Parts: sequence; structure tokens; C-alpha cells
Amino acid sequence: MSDGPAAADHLSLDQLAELDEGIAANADALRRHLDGCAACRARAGQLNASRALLSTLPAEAMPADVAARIDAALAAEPAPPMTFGGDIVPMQSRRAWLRGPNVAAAAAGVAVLALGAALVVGHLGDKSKPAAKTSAGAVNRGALPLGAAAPSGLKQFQTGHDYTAATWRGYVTGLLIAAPPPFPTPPPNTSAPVTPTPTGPASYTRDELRDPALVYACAALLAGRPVLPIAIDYATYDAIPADILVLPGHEDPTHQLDIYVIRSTCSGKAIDIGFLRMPRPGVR
Amino acid sequence: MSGALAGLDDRELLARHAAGDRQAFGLVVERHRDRLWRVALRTLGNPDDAADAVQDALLSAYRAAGSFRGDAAVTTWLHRITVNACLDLVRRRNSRPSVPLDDEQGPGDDVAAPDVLGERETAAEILAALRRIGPEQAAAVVLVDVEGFPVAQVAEMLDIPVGTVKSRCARGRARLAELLGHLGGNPPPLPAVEPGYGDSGTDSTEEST
Repeated sequence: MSDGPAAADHLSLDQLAELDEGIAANADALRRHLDGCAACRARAGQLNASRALLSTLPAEAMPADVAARIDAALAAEPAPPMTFGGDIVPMQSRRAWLRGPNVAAAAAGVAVLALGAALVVGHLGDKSKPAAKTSAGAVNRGALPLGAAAPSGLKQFQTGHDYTAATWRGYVTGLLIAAPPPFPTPPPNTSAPVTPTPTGPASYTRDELRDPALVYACAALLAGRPVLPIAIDYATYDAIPADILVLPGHEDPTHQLDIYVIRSTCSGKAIDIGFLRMPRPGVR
Repeated sequence: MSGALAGLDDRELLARHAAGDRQAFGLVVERHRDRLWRVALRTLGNPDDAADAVQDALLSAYRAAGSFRGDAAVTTWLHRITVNACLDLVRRRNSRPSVPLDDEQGPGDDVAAPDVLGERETAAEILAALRRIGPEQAAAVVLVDVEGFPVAQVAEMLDIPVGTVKSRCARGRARLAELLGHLGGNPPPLPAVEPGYGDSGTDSTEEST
């Protein structure tokens, strides 16, 4: 610093600043010196004056040309990758999972690979905690809608729930237990699940998913094989409108549930479909 | 559309952005860009660099918004990204020795005598001084002393311990006092006193963590 050797025992600006910030070594000794030394107190004043100068800096706005340049750079960016909060895993992981332990089952899939841009949310699997508690008695083993009343057993809900990383398990459990309310759509007019056409422009808007027949078609598209959907809730996920589609688990329909969160369209190309998995509540 | 978005807080806007709403991020930018600009400008001491850094930062934020966890405030998160972009920029500069970082032509070099300095000239001198103390100390001083963030929040923004923020602030303020002494009054002469107080090793000690 600028302190000459002769002034070594005066407080340096560093020491004064440290004293001020409460991090000086030998603070007591420094303070004693400061109390008796007008020159050091003046230097402390210099420190305060320069701090005060900083606060005179004007609160200037970003210049318009810089703002315009940044806006243009942002506008040139592709749409942001889709995520749903919670534990997010790239879609490749879900692909690996679908094709992993049960390759034969997944080989039937026609749409799985097309989901390349989608993302997987919260891959929970069996290692995760059991789902939010449910009364085991209320859910009989094997008495879930699948099989019991299929294919018209699809339960359609409009619960008004906002699903989140923290709440979705509980809400999904609720869907399985609850009796579906009267829902203003015609009963399913198909007795067999619709299978997606590999080459067809399969894509269903959320409006279309009010029709149970198209829910079947969407489920088959997402699962990559014909599957009987269990329930759908026209709700929100993280406060964003989304259809929560509950399917039997891909490898283990008895013990697992696969849940798809559909934010705009159900299609092989949709980048806004999230995926969740949980054990079937009430099944041991 | 953006009218409906205007009522949302930053966190909700980032969620919308992550859900594919292309207007949501623009609103976040609009809310924060002036402050991010000031922080970058004063950390780097140079408007061209600041523009580059803020652009880098906002592009990173745009891409990473989907993984924003919500356990940090959006303001903290954006400042962290911005300061990192500033430090990255300086690091890149420093790895190219042909571009000197220090001011061979600082904004304050050609200004008039201190007593006739106007507000603009004072600001330019301060900017030049901030540039000279280097981006790490400058960022700490700017965030605490200019923008008024609490030390704990600045520690989060800079991803360093609170004690390190304090020591960077102290060192930065000391150097600024030295560099700006002529603006705030004359440094008083120091009479010699007899030895007895601690060593003057503060210049060389790295900040503790």
C-alpha cells in the first residue's frame, strides 16, 4: 500500500476497512490506536467518503441498443427445453427405461422413439418412497379400474388440483380411490383400444382428450402399445393447464403406474409431455 | 397475453417459460435487465464488456430456466449468472495476453481537475477505479455498497462464503479509497509513530474462506 515504512503503525486502509467490516485481526489494538490518532481517523473518513461516492452512482438503465441486441439474441434462441420441475431426467433416460429390463414388451412400441424431444420427470421407480398414504382397504388388489370395467372403466376427472412435484403422488392416489364424478362427455363408443398408426399423423389436442376414445388412442401412442388407461384428470401441473393421464406401469402393470403430464398435445413429437412413475397404491 | 403474464411473479414466469411460453422470459428480462446491466457495467468497468456479459448471462438463464429450482430467489439466481458471465469474460480476456485488461485508456484518464468534475465525470472516475480493482472485488463492492444487497445474499450470488464477501468488500473499499481519494477530499499526511501494532501483511493475505 501507499503507507511508507515510517507509517507502518498507522492503520492501513485495508486495516481500517477490515475493522469496519468486523473482520480485522487485533481489532481491539487497532481501535485503541484509532481512538488516539487523528490521522488514522481522517483516513477512516477517506474510506467512508469513497463509499459514499459509490452511492452517488446513478441508477442508469440498460442502453436501448444493448437491450435491443439482447432481445434479438433471445428471440433467435430455440424454444426452451420442456421441463416440469421436480427431478427432471432427459427423455433418453425414459427411453432406456422403456427398453431396458423388458425389451420384448417395449419392442412393440411404435411411438416411443418418436418422443425423443420430450423429457422425463421424476423417474421414481421402485426405489422411491411409497406413494402418499392411502387406506389399503379402500383399494383392493386388482380392483382398480383396469379390468374391472374396461374399457369403459376410464375415469375422467376435473378435480381442479394443481399437481406439483410435492403433491402429484397424493392426487394420483386420490384418482384411483375416488369414484369419478359425472363427466359431460359421451360414453366411450369403442370396445377395443384404438391402436395408433405408426405412420399416421397421430396427435390429439387437449380438447380432443375429453373424448374417451381418443384418450385410449393417446395412451397407446405414449405407451407404445395398446394399453387401457386408468384415469385422466383435466387439471394443472405447476399451475399450467395439463392433462394427467394415468396408465398401468409399462413393465409391471400390477404394481406400477405410469403417469403422463400432457401440456398441449398428445403426440409423438410433443416436447411438453412429462413422465412420472409410482408404485400402485394399495398393492403389495 | 403479456397482460395476463404481468401479474405473475418471476418464479411463475420461469415456469411458464419452461412450459414453452415464449413471452414469459421476456418479461423476466424486462424486470431485471437494468440492474443486471449496472452490476455488469460496474464489475467490468466497461460498457462493451458489460453488454457482452449480460447477453451471455441472459442466454444462459434462458436455456437453464427449466432447471431453476425455486430454492433460490430469481434475483439471486440471475445475479449469480451475470457475475459468473463477467468473471468468465475477464478470464477469457486474460488468457489472451494481447488484450490488456487494465486501463491503458480508462474513462477517467482525461478528465478535468477534480474540483470541476461533474456528476458524469465522477461516475466515469468511479467506473475506472472499479475496473482497476478487478472484477472479483468490484462485484462484491458493487453488490453490497451500490446495489445494497445483504452480505448473505451476495455470498449466495457469488457462491462464496460470507467471510470472503466481507474480505473482498474490505479490500475493494480500501483500494477504491486510495484510487478515489482525490475526489472525496485529500488524504491526510501520516505522521510517523513508534512501532507496536500488527504487521502490514494485509495486502498479501488471500481472503479467508
